[in-house]
Amino acid sequence: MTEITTSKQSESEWHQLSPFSIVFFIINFTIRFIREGIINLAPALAIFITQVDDKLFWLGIAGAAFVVGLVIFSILYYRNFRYRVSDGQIILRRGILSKERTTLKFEKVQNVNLATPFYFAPLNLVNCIFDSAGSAQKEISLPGISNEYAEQVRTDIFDYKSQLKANGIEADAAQEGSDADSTNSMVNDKPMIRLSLAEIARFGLSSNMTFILLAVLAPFMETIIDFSKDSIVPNIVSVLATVLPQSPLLNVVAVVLFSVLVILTALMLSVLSSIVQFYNYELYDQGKQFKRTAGLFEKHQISIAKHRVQAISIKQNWVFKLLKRVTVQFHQLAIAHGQNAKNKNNLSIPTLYPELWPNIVDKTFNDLNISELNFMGISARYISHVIAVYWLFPLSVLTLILIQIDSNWIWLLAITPIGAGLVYLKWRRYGLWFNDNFVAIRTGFVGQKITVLPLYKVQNISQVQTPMLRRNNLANIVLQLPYGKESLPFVPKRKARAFLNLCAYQIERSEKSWL
Amino acid sequence: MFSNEQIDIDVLPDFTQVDYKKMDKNAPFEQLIGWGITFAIVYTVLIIAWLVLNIPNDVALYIGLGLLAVMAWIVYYIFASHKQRGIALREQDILYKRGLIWRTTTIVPFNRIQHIETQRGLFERKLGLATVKIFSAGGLSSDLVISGLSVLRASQLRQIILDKTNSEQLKND
Repeated sequence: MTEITTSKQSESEWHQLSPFSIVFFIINFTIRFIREGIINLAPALAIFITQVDDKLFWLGIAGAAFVVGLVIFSILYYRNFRYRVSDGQIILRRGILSKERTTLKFEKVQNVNLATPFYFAPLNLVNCIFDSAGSAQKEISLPGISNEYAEQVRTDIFDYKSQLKANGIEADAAQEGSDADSTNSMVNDKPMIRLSLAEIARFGLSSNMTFILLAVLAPFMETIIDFSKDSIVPNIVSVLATVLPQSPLLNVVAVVLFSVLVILTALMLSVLSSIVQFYNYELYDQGKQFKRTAGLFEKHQISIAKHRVQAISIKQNWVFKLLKRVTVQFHQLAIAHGQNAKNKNNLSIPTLYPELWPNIVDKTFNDLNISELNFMGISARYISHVIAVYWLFPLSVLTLILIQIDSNWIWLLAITPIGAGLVYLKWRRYGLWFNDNFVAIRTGFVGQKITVLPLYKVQNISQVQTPMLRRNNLANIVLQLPYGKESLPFVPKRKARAFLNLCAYQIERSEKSWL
Repeated sequence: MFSNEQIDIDVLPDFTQVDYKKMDKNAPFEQLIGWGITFAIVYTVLIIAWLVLNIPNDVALYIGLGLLAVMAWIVYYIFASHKQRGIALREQDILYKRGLIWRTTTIVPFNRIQHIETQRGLFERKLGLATVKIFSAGGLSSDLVISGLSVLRASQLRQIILDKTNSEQLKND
């Protein structure tokens, strides 16, 4: 490798973090303990509950010991945490008993993201996270360094990478280098999108949190209902009785009121969690990259080079359909398939006016003319096939069983048209559009999801045919992308063949890096 | 130099017009051995259960016949799907078709292959077979598992893929 010598301003001897990082470690370790450690304590807890008298006293002692231990551990961890930025690499030494040394080379750094927990903000400190191409575990983060220093390291890294390019070492670095340039020149640019609190709250309403919460509570439903019947509803009734005249309807009103309250609480929690995540959401278009900042307790700054966006999905579920909003999701290479990897670099725009999304797609994929988008539906055979195989067949079997056991089966007839309606809705959403360089796939049910991607990003392609599809000159197509699969059923065979041939041609012809 | 000519879709190389090479003739037998062992275990367990648990003879008979039918179907499937299985190489990609009912054709361009693996199990070694696994980005595990290749073909395939992917990388540098 060619020797590169630059005087980097961030270059340094071994450094310590700001003492305030102790707070960060305390909070971080507590969260980790709650998430991972508590299950291991379950046996001890069981013994404690069954065997120990004087529970409060011992609980106090244990709690105090835990807090003191945590603080001491965090201080020791802080004192043993050293980092060094030099010679084109970041080196980390940490650990109290078992020492650990991590080295990350500048050229492996994909992104430098900054997170600012609220207790860091007044001190002008940030948590600097270096995103590497490798696995999530090997990631390096420096909690508690000054904002300026973080920016400095960031500039140095991208300068270094563009120098590599100048020496012809890494082709990909060219784009990185110019990204860094544009970052510097456009730092004060106005955000392309800024979300108000009301908009973020809307997203909270649409997310599935409410349903997840209800699902979690489901096993306890009976207990909850009994409890509310015994203690909550009578209370509401007595309160109501003071304002309203006595009536037998009072009980019903109380139950309804209580249910509404429960649902409202669930919705509130969902709205709150989306505010925590997306508070003060701002998206900047910086020429070759997007930058996003958001977060209530911890402000996260994420930037992503546009050429790393593998695909864009525009989603609208049924709630958003009513609220007339869409969610825009940027797909990226997913190396670790854990949930962490998914959420961490989430650039998504949680809520957006539907008329604005073509602009976003336009800004990401420059050479795509969004007005060309004109979806072709899939074969109507999809309807009859899916109804027959996935609806009528199982229903007939069920009917036979019900007749066998002399049960009432007539109501099954009523289900058939419902199923047909659902299948029809699904069929109506399916759509395919492509030109020489891009493809868009539309799926959905009541809402819809449109995914747009450049053909050269595709990793491999498949065609699937069953005897039925072959007879009717149809085929299913499957595209493998760096973030997952996209597929479309019941495409006319000629169209599928033309598309797959074009796709293969574009992938094989392209010398652009898909990453 | 940037150019942006229109592409005539009709004259692009057609993936449906390729000659596929069948898998090695020993491939079905390797699958048969695998299933044979599975069924031997299932039958042993069932016979022991029949002797120990006093299962009525007619129930045992039904279960036995049912299993026989499943076995017959699997044997048929192995040989029938063997006829449908094949690989083809083009200048820029590898094609693999498989499946009896869900007939799948997958095209993996050489410039999207991350790495490859060759694997040989106990029976594969005895029958002179090998499995080649092809990985591309974003797949949960390997994207393409091509089993039932003769050892010679597997190593040829491996060499071709390595050559092609290397030359791609050189072009990019």
